[in-house]
Amino acid sequence: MKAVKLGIVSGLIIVSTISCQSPPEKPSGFQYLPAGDLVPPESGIGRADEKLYAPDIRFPIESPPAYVNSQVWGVGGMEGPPGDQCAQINYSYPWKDNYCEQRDHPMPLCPAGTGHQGVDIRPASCEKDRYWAVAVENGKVSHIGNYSLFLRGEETGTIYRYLHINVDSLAPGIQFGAVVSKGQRLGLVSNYFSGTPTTIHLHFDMKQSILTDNGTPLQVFVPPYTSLVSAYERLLAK
Amino acid sequence: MRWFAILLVVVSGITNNACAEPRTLDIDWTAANKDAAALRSLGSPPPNLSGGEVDASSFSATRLPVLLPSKLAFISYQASADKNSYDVQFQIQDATLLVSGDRYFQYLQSEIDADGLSSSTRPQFLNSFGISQLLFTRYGANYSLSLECSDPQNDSRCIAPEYLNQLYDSLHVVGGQP
Repeated sequence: MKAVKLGIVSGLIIVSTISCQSPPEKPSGFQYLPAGDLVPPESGIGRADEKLYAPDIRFPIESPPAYVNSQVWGVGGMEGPPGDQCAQINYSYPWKDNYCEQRDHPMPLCPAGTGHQGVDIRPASCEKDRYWAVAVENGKVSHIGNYSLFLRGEETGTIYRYLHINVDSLAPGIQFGAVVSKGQRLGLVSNYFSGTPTTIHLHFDMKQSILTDNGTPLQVFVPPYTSLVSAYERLLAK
Repeated sequence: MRWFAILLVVVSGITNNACAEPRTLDIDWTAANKDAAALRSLGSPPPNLSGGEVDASSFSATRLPVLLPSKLAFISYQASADKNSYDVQFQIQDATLLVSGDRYFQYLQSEIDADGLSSSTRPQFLNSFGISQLLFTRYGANYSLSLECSDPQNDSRCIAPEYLNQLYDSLHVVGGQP
């Protein structure tokens, strides 16, 4: 399969093909900007990091297409161009990383030292409670809040957070402590955010631990974008 | 031929490592036991949680010190634990509190391209998406307190760090073993 990776240098769009190990499949049209290329540039300083922090995860939304891009700086967002959050441009490729997008949360791996802890993923269309979020790894449901679900990965120990899901209609058997399999349905992608709804999307992030040189661990939210690109390519190849 | 065999072994090791169990942290049980002994020396058992006791037998197989707050009024709780991690989710008034600990690490600092990473035993407060968190390390393990409020925009517990700091200050070892 060949996915198209786009790069923007000084306003010029550079297109290159990335050879993947998957066998040739039907063209998906999937395109993505490189990790760390935040759009627009004033939305923050991204982390240009191609490392696969979770190399074997399943893509967290059950069915393609899905679109990674900013809810804040996209069309209809608080800081974005005027328009409707459901505008078609928000539901199109290329993907745009928004890990490290401007926030005031301490984020040791973000160039600014603060930033967005994960990425935002829109499902196939602007409809809430229609698309399933699924387990990215075998593991255990370690938390269910008002609009959040945490999954503790069995193979890696990674904590995956799924936010803005509809916890009132979780998939059968999904409860605190439930043991789940990779790909198993968890809950529906929605706009839940307590009293004030957000846009229809899944916020997805990954917390891991780094054993620092002084011998103590440091818990950090690691860049998920490249791992998601890889997982999405595998999903498209099925 | 010998070099080829060695290469095969190395490659095999790398490949297997990708599917291996996560790496685990060494726990400072001396420090954990010392703290537990100091608490016992006060002449009374650790303060009870308001709302009932958490059944410590849930953590009998857990290989890290299980920390829980003592100053917490809760309505109900659920606990889940295994060898290397635990999670206790408390339903409290208008919020849920998750207390978690584990002894996993995914990377050595040398494996990450980042300058200036350093860890501290001081808790790190995060407030995002209406979820307040304290992330910290103690006894060599990872711990977190996560608070999700029903009304995060107006509930001071989910805005400022004071509430979680109070819970942090009341944490004590309730279970776990080497």
